[in-house]
Amino acid sequence: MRGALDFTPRWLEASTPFPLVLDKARHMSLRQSINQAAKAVVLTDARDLPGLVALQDLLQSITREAQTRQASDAAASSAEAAELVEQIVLRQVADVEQAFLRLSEAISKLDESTPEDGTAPAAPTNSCSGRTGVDRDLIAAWVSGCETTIPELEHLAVACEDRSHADDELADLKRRIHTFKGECGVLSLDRAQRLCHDTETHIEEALAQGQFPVDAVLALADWLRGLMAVLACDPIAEEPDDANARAALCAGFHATKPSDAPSEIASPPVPATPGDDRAIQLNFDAADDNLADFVTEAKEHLANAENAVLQLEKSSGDPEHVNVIFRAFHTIKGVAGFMNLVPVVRCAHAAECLLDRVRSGTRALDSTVLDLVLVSSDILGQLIAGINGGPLPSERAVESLIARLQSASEGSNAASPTSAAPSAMVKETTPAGPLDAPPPAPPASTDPNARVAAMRKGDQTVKVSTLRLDSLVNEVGELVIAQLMVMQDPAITAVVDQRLQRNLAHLGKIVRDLQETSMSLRMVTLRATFQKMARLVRDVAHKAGKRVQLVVEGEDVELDRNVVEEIGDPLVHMIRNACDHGIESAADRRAAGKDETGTLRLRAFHSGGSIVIEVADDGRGLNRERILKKCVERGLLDPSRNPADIPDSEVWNYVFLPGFSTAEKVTDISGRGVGMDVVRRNIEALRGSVEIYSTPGEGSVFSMRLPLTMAIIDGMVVRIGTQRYVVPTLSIERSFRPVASDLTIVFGRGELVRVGEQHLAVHRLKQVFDVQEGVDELSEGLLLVLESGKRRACVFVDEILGQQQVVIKTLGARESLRGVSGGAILGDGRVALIVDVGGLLEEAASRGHDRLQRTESRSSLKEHMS
Amino acid sequence: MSIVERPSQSSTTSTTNQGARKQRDANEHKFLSFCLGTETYGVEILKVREIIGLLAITPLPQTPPYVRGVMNLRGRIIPVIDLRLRFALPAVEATKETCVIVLESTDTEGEQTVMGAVVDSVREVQDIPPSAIEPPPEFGCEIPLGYIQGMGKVKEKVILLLEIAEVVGSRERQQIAQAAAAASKREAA
Repeated sequence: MRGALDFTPRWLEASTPFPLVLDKARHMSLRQSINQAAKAVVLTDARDLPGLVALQDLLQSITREAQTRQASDAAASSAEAAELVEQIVLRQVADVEQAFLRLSEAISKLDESTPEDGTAPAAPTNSCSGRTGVDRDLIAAWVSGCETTIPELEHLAVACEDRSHADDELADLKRRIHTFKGECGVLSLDRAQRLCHDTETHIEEALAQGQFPVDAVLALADWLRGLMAVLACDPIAEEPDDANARAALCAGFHATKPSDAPSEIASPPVPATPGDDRAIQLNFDAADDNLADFVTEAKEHLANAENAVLQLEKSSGDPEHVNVIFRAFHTIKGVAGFMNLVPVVRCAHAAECLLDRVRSGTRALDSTVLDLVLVSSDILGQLIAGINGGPLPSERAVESLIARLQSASEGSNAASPTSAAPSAMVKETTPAGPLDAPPPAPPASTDPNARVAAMRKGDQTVKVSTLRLDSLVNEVGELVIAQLMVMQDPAITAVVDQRLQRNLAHLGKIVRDLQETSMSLRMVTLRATFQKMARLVRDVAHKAGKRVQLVVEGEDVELDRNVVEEIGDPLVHMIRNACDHGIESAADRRAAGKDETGTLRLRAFHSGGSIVIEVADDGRGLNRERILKKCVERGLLDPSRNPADIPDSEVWNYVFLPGFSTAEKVTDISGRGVGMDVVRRNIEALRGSVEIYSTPGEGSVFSMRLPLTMAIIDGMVVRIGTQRYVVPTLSIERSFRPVASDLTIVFGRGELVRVGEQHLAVHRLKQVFDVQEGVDELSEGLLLVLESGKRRACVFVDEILGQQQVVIKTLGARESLRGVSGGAILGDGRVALIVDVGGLLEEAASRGHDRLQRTESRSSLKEHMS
Repeated sequence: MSIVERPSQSSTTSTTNQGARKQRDANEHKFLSFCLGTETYGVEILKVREIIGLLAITPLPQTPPYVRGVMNLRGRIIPVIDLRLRFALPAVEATKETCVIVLESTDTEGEQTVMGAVVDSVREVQDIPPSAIEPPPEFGCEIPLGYIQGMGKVKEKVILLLEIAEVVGSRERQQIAQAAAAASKREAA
């Protein structure tokens, strides 16, 4: 950045000719002059003699002014600065760069030691009004430049910590922070400037003691990143609160120079009571738009970290995994700091410290560390869930975790500079304690999406609001319909023109491609879900004292976002069951001649237009006898039936009944018989199905078949009169034209039709849906055999128009209608209702019931009369 | 690109904001008037999203007669009500002038609903200042008149100003409640 600004004094030519500024200096407040000087330092260089001379003059005038105001500190600093400038002008300094460093330090000191002028409230503060004079373009350019420089700063900081070969890096780092400071000064980012300055001072002090304050630098980098995010949205926005970055800084200052920390925390050092059982307090601003983004991102980061831990357990020693974990905690810490979520910051920080020891090789990577990381991840997960209203962990849990993390990281190197950090941060956690700065005001004018986008620029993916995605998909759907309408327009079809036909075909292809792409936008991979399961398997296996190895396949298979969200729960239940019941204990396995370590196979693959997710274990398999016994006990099964005749599939189906469990004892993992009920219900809600295959002694497979997307169904378009309805193809068992001989009319009970061996009730769709038109004679229409859960019935329609994939849309009415699950827009642009088969059969049955009641009462009346 | 002390550019955003607000203010007292039979009614122009011709409407089962059904508004399915039937006027054949006013309303929970209302014809957009609007009349009885926002006087004519959220709201909710009660009775039986 310096290079970019490196020509004759722009600060001089920018506003007014300099002499005028000098003249005005007397009228100008002292602070304004100082700010002017601070800018000048950044914008001049050694070759720029006129600029330097003018600066010297300015500094001298500041000295005089300070003397008249009896601000001796300020006067001394500015005199020193003026002296320095003179030396630079006269080429009396050996290292010009160094001299500039000292010069800007002197001016910053001057800045701090100058009393606020009571007379001039116009001093540039970090308020919006104070910064409106700054060029927006300039800030925007700076922000985009910083996107690369901040990560470099972090990288340097980490490199510097390893002191063996870091002299160059250290110099570079100092230069960069200094540049930041100068740039912030020019852009009137006072808080940032001061923070950079304090960090610089802190580095010098720490280095004098033979340490490098990596935390302070990383905190600075985090804070700057937050600042960039704010500025990216609104260049003249207020700077965010710097309390957390200051805390990291103070932590270092604490030992050396407590009084110098400009944001010395005002509250008395009340230590948080570590043994408190109360839920921890999170001071967050629920109105902050960024919270939601933070929560989702933090969850992702934690999932990544957990996954990396599991990888480490498998193949210890890959430093990249440690880095992944480190980065996850570091990012969470950074953003949480920005949100003022002190407990989150502290946990993440402590975990980060520990990992840092590991990374630098001063702490061995053993199971203690991995366990601690997992516990930290859990606690952080709870804290983050707490933001969304979940139960928060107790203070004791958090404190003890932090203590454990600290002791684990200090165990190897007690003199680490980071060990001072938490003690200072404890002060910050006292929720009622006044902080030096007010909690950050919710940045009202900034768009959270833009901010996230700014933060993640350079990534391969973009976060887009689902609303926008949905509207895109809608519009593409509309385009498809419009295209069809054009293609089928009689005026077009009448034209026999090869070129037109070719162009239309081309258009059709583009539209189809577009539709495919837009549908794929909602698709996400199963990776994240499967990663969570890896953690689950580890925990459950530990708890049950078994050895289980998880093999994952097809984690790149894509599914609709909604579906992926919904299958989490069923998967958890299936995997718990497999670990707890399916896979035997090591002793049993040995006795059965199997490998002691059980294998759990989690597999996803495409199959015939849907996705199949399988959970397969090589355990003992389902116990057919025990399930049958239980069924008889519970009266689900006719005891007279010959057990050998009951097909496996029927036996396995009983497992899904609510409250059905063959487990002899209820463990805290499973055994209450709730799980499989949940599994089936969730999967059916997704319009999927679940099947079980099991072989005694060899294991069982739970196979879920799911639709690719929730947004589209495969439907049969049927007609009644002029109305069309869409019936999900999955629910249709068969369709046929009834023969009069198969029909039976039961007086008062409606009609029955014989289908194979069974008699099924016939419901006329036109009656259920109150349609005035349509065929009345059963033999002139079609009967659809529909199935939903236990119910099975025939529904009468005029005819089937065809099978087609339709996009499900809500009807826009808030109240749901029985028997209708939504609407679909057909090729001609008209709306057809999608039949909810379960609801329809229920509704039809209840109507039948009504009729039955009426006839029964009538017949009983008749009996009575006779 | 000058670095220091450049006059601010921030005024541009505030002017656009002001412009939007000004426009909103200007539309605040505007009403779209439409006809049902011989009577003229009005709705706030801010609630009107668009006016479209009568499209194909798919009827919905289990709804009161004034709910005509749903229609396809450029890929979005919206419910359509018939204001004639809602106000117990006799149904008429659709004419060339019959059209659908697409209305937007936000309920107390902040949920936005879009729906269409079939009217005989649309008249004009009129400025009715608050001074020319009188509160809904009290008939001295318990007739719920929540759906009347007020009576606007324009050139000695009275226009009934409708509170569109209430027009469907109250009665439909009632209807739904009745239906639910009937269903539970059925179940109990």
